[in-house]
Amino acid sequence: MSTFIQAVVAGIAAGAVYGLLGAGFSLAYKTTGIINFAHGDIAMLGAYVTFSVFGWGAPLFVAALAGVVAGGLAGAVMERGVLRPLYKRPLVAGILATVGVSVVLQSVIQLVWGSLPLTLPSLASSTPWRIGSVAFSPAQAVLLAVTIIVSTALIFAVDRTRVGRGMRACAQDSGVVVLFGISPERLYLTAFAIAGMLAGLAGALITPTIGLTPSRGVSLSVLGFAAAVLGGLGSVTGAIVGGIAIAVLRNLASVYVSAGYADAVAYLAIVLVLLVRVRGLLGDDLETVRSV
Amino acid sequence: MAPEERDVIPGRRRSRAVAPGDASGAVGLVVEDVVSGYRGAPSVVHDMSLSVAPGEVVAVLGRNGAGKTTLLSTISGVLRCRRGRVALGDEQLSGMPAPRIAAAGVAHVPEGRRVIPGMSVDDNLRLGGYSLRSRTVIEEQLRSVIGLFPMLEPWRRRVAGSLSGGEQQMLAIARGLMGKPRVVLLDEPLTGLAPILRAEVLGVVDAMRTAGHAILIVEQNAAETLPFADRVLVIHEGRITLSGSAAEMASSSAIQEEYLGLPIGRTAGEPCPTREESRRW
Repeated sequence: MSTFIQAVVAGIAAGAVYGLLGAGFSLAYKTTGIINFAHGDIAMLGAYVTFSVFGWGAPLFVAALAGVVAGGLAGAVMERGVLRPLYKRPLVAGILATVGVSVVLQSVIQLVWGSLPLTLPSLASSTPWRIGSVAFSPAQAVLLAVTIIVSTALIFAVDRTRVGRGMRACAQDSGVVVLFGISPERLYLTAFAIAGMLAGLAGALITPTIGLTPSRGVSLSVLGFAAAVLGGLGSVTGAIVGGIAIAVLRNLASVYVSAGYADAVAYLAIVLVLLVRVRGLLGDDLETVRSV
Repeated sequence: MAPEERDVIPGRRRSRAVAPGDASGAVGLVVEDVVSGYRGAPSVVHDMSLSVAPGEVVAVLGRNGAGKTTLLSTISGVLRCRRGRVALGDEQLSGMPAPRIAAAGVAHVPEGRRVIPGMSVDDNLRLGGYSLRSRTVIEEQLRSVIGLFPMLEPWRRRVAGSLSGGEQQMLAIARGLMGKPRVVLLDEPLTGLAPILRAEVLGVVDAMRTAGHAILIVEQNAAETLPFADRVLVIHEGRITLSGSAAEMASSSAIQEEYLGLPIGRTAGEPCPTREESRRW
């Protein structure tokens, strides 16, 4: 039983970061309809910037903030420079462009930081506290606390603020919102900048565990996308829940099946969930809403 | 009544619009020699000139494809003005992007309502006040608009997509008023509504006039719109072919037959229904 609890607890901490990645995916999709396959690479860029700023002697917390800013800038530049000219084209053009951006970002990271794996220390100690037979480290507590604070603020911003309301409206009818004084282009830029900041934060938080390599962004994109889809594309809360569900499933599969099958079991479970509930765990029926 | 008024004379003469204003100094809408159309397509609206003063309702009548919606879209900045100018008093609107025109005080209630179906009535209303920014002002305006549309109060938590067509139309007009507009453009607000709801919508238009809004209403349903309008413009193939006061238009049987159609049970020459009659339908 304690093994089960340990797997779940560790899964919740790891999944919180997947959730942050998924929340960025969902926010960009909710506002623009674009699935950003460069999201994981923006996370890696944030992690590499954190690595460099930390290397220059800044405290790790400040370095992580620099990573967040770098992610936000990358998201904004990507929206302004690559996606904006494509908004009048079919949606698939924008989505394919994000794949191109992913490749470019990997190359840039490789050119600047090289291809050798690098490591980044955790924001807090990894020495675990023990509650009975269950171990929980300060680093995991930080992951969880940061995710709770950031996701609560994000959910409030999307649901209750003027800009968040505008973003939700843009997702459903970007043509009519201009009549209320809303500039969809500004909201798209804001959404991608915030999504980039979330990716940068997730990158800074997750790389102490997984390490830094230029191509790691692809697997982060897959994780974030899976979290967003499982939770319900477009739902920030759903993405967090989806991320935690994936991590817990992976951990349980590692413990009870085999570490080699962890991803397979987790993603098979996602497929089964989506077969039963195509909108995901907490998603709005966004596609239906879009087509009204 | 606008400062400059033309007689009811069919023709393609351009009207010389003068900046309309009332005694309080409030300003209305001026459209001068406007040419516009959809991107990559020939012009739909040609040399169109009109004005709407505060507290005035101007009805634009015309058949499908006459250019009525194109005219409204040009005024609200959704379509670019190829030539001519649109102004709100002394403030030039043509050339501004649509969001800035909305913030300047032009509310466009589009054809087909276009409420945001997946958002609540309350959120839809607040979206209409997007350009107000101050939370206090938005709350004040929300109370004021709900006062004008009391039927919206119990629906505020409902998802807008679940409202009926008439309810959505009320919401769309209320949302337009949330931005404290000086000019309200209504595109086919009566289409698809039951008679009782049409009367309700027109009652709201009347209340908006009393509140001092300059209202430009585009409709095909001439018989019901005419009693509520101060002036009427008839457009055909993107040009104003007739204009005059609503009373003049209503008394002309030739105009009724040619452009306005006749209400059921009435014959040519018989005047159009009064406001009270129209409400009873």
